[in-house]
Amino acid sequence: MNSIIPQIVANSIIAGSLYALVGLGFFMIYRTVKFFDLGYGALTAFGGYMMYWLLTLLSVPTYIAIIGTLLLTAMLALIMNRLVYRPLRARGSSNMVLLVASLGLFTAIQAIIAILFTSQFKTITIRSLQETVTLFGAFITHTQLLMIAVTIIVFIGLSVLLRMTRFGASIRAIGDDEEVAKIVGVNTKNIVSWVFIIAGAIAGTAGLLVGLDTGIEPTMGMQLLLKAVIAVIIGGVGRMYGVVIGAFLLAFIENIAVWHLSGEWKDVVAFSVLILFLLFKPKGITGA
Amino acid sequence: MKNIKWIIGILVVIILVVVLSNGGDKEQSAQQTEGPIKIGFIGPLTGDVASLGENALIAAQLAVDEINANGGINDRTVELIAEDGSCSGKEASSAAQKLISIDKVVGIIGGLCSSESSAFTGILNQSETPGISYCSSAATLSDAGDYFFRTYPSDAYQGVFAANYLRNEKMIDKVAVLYVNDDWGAGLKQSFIDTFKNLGGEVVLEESFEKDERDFRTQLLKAQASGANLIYYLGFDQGAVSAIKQRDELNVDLPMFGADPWDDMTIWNDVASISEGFGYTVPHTTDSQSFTSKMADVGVSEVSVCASQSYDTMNIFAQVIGQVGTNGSDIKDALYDVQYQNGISSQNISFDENGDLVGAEYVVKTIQDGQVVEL
Repeated sequence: MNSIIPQIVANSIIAGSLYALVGLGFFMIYRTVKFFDLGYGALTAFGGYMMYWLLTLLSVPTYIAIIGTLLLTAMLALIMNRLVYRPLRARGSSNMVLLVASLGLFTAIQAIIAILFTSQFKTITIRSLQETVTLFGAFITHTQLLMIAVTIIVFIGLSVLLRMTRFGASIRAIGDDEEVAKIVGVNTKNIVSWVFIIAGAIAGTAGLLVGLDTGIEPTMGMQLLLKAVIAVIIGGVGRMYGVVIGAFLLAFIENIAVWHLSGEWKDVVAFSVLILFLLFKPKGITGA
Repeated sequence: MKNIKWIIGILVVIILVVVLSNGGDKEQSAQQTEGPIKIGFIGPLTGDVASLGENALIAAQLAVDEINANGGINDRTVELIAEDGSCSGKEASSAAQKLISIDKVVGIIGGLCSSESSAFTGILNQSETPGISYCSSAATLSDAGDYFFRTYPSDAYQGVFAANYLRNEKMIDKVAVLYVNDDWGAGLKQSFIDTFKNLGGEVVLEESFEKDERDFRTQLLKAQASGANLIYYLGFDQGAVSAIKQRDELNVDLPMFGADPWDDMTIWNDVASISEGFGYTVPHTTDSQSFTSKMADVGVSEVSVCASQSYDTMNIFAQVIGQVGTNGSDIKDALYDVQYQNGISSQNISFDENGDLVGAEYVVKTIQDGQVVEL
């Protein structure tokens, strides 16, 4: 029994890192423009497929494939903002309209991916990442270690960016009140574009890591997005470290539920936690 | 003023509905005597089981092309209309509604997943449209009414066969069962467990998972901790690939055994190297080189499970419609008496009083040296 516990902890950390990584990008967008961008889910799938396309179909070197994936996903995020979100926001559309529009984008992108690449499950293989190491009695692959490391790096990077740079101050200003930010001279259009570029690159990273870990399929975005949304809500929508806490809390609760109850309870437990938080602690763990 | 607009609006809608539904009726009678004979196809073309669905659709279309090349049915061409059932009851039921009420199909080939078929058997019976599934195996579908048939054997047999094989030939005492939580998974699991226990085996873990689950790590650990000798995994391609990989990553040293959805080369192209000694059951099909090469001609390099049944199903429809015409009730009656010879999936195809395929034979395939080998 004892030999199992480290592995369960490791499984939770792996899942938690992924939720946190996806959640951080989602949070960046939400923090700035204050709507739930469901299209972000499709960006993760898009990232996975771009990696597959570049690495497996075009056989370009790994690091170029990775950079290409991040650039392409960031570009798609930027295009989504330019063509859809920005005009809607300029018109003063409600968050409901933006939510519906983002759902439309999500569905359309997912369908286009399925048309281009078929809906068959695909895996992306980099040999050196498939090896397994033992850490504190738990088995963990290089891909999963990479996922954990990337999440930590992205978290630290974003924290520095938000707190210590002028750019971060501008993002916070827009998040607090876009009109006021504009009046005091923040180039809001520009900043929002950059937020989408950064979030897109994070989504691309998450998508390619999922592809390396388990595999990709056009519908993978929704599952990732839902978990990220839960992580953001239970962590507290206002604070970035809340996303990370929420993600790991969710992953631990899920894995403990699977261990003690049974696999089919995983989603029941995850969404029950979400509802309990909405009812009793709507501002999340980190909220006042 | 506002009220008047509303009333006019409602009237317009009512008139439209009446006009359209009348028009539809006329179209149906026209459909039955002239123009192409429309046959519907339902299977997962997106999502989890899409590789099997796409394969089966190509096979059905191949049969249609051959029939049309030979002059069609009673000088009428056949038109296949495919709808995506996504391996989900909700999608399949609206697909069947659309095929029956808008396209006015004469019969439906499908669905693939049992959860698809069970969602629209009611619609088939109500509209008197015969449907023949080429892949649904849930035991409960035997009671699905007069208008539902299948060219694929019921899992009542597969579970028994797998349990006998594992208990008596592989001498497995303790088994951990992981199954997808749908009609197919739950039905097959039950027939397996009942037989396995009767044979003196022990089921030490019995857990389900959702169809889109990709993280099996903790369940695999539970299986290992349960003291099982083997994991009986009832799930589809994409989940199976994840589970097999994660089993390898976690060094879980239990072999895995699957069922007919594993007869899909997209799984083994990926994970055969880490699946040495794994096995699965699949209905025996008449080995046909000509079918494999015909499929290769239309771009399918690996023929998946259910493709040959899909091909045969279309030909059975053609044979029966050629004999009795396009009336749904006549086709249904003729199907109960049909003797279809020289099928690809099995030599003789006929249906019993439940519309189930008569005679089910299974084989075990195993993974040896990275290759799928039939025992």
